Amino acid sequence: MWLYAFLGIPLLGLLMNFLLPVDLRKYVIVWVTGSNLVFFIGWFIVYHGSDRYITSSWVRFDPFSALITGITVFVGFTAALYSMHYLQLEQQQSTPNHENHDNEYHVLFLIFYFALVGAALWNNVFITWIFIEATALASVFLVDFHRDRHSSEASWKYLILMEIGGILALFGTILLVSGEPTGVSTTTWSGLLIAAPHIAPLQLKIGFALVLAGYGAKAGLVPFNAWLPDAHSQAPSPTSAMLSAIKLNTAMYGIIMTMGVLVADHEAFYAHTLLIILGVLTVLVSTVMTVSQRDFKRLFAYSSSENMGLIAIGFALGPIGIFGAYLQMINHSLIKSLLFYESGDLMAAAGSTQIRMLRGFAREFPFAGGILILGFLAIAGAPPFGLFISEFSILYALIHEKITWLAVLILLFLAMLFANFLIFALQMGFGQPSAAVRKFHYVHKKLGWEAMVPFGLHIALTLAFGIFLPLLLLGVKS
Amino acid sequence: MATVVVWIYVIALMLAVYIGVVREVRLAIGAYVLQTFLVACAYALAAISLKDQSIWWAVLGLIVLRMILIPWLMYRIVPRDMFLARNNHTLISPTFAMLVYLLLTAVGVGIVSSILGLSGLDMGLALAILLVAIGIIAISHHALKQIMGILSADNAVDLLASLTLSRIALMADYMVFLEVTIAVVLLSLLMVRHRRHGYKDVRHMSELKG
Repeated sequence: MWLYAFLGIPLLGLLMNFLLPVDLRKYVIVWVTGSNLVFFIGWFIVYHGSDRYITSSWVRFDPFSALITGITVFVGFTAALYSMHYLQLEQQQSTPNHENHDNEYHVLFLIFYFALVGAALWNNVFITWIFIEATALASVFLVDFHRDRHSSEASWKYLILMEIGGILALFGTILLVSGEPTGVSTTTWSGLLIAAPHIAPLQLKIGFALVLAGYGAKAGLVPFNAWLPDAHSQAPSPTSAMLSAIKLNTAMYGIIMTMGVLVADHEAFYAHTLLIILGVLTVLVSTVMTVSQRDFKRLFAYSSSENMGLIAIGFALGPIGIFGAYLQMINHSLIKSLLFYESGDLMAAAGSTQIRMLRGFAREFPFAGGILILGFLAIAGAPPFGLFISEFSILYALIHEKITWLAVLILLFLAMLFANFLIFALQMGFGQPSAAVRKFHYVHKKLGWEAMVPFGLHIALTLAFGIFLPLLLLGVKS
Repeated sequence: MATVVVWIYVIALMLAVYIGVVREVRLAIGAYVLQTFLVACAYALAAISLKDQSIWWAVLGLIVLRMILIPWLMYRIVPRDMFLARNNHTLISPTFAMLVYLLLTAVGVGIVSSILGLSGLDMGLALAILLVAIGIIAISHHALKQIMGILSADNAVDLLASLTLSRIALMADYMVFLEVTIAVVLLSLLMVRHRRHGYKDVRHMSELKG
């Protein structure tokens, strides 16, 4: 029952947040996320082989759940660390009579984290749905944390679309469950896999289409992604990082688990085709949208959408594609959260999220600017960063499945995206520093450990995935 | 009993359409309460036919959380004048909206009938209610009407769930009820915040381009 500790620790943290003196409360989120990370690493070291995984009538912890949970606990920890730095930045930028909402932030963070950690731990399809839905409810007031007109508008759109998505996914799930033959009564993922061949194929297809639309809205897949750029651009930077690097993955988890049910009923072609169509549409539309962006947080948000599209394509392409999709999930989470952390510092430096306001940022602030340029190169898919390997794997899987024309099309759009990010990196990093950048001299020249550790860890890990993974794979092959 | 169930679904569908076209939100809430009562009736019929005691607990949850608590919380949180406002802008006129809802009903019933034939009429009607409710959210420019659309869509999900209640754990059922209640509270609180920022309607939220 060690699995319940992942949920118990955040709940304990919530309690501590109310009991501890105000000065100590800011450390609770770091303690909670840090403990879960240590716990996860401990689980990985102590247990081996099949002992690592559990499947019972309520809980399910398989390699896919472990991947999602691993990303959650790691990004959760760095987001908690960066939150300390970010709240400090907000305090410095605020007016003297500004109301302090730090404690509210900590409570909301813990509830959001609790929902995220729980999303991939359940075998019951309805409990999985409830946790995925809870990730949306728990983050609404984080999106509206700044309580201004823009954040208010973004949070409304966010919640309405999340609710529609949730209802569609629930309807689709019930449709699948109600199709089970008489005498069979199961609401578990493993049970559905067994019952799938006895469910009417058309009912399975309609159920999956609804689930795909529902969870697809939550995963930021086009055409259901209208909430994504608004919510990501208005939320505090650590929240944007968690939305992009964790929340989108949990929704994708719901899609892939449901797809498994169709695959068990030999309806893989239908599920894969739908997933590829939505994935390609997402990559194309999101890439085009990045061209016209003037706001760097919205730019990162569209890039998240594009990456989710690639992940969706990967999951529809057999073992090589699935391997690429897993890698893409990890690398995207690592790089995108780094970029969103960086966006907090950029906002503090320029007082704006406008790209043109940040000209010369790398010249004025070499360390943070250097990280920014590296982050842009990494998310653009440049070698030796990990995203290069994962994108390459997905493209290779397309060619392997003999869909070469699609591989060429995706490659063209990835090249366009690469060029976009390079241009934006040059615009933001170099040139004569803008008046806004020169004006806002603050903590950048002495970044605290709360910011340095997340920056360093994320860059190091994505580099490691890019450099050592190919060597490891070559080693395995030889 | 099957005929009674189908009639429950038909009336619930008519109430969903009424929620979509009625101008005053106060009346839409009344229709929602009635619709939820019908869902509770469908649950009760399932409890009788399946002889399952635990479904009665789900009926109780529906009545307490969905039928009583949600409207009460909305009345407590949202300013009274917003319930009484009659100037509810929609993208299209109520007459045209009726046609759209009719089309959505045909789509919903048609899709499920193509799989299960007439025996799946109740399931088809539930899908039709879901589509009409999503139509309400898409067409309405009034924040409270959008919330009513979400509540109506949740009722559609519950009507579908009533057909397979023996498979759904009571705890999962209650968690879904609670989720809906929390969502409505959050949406109502957001509405109050919008008012502070000067938003009178959803159509005024056009500063972010999505």
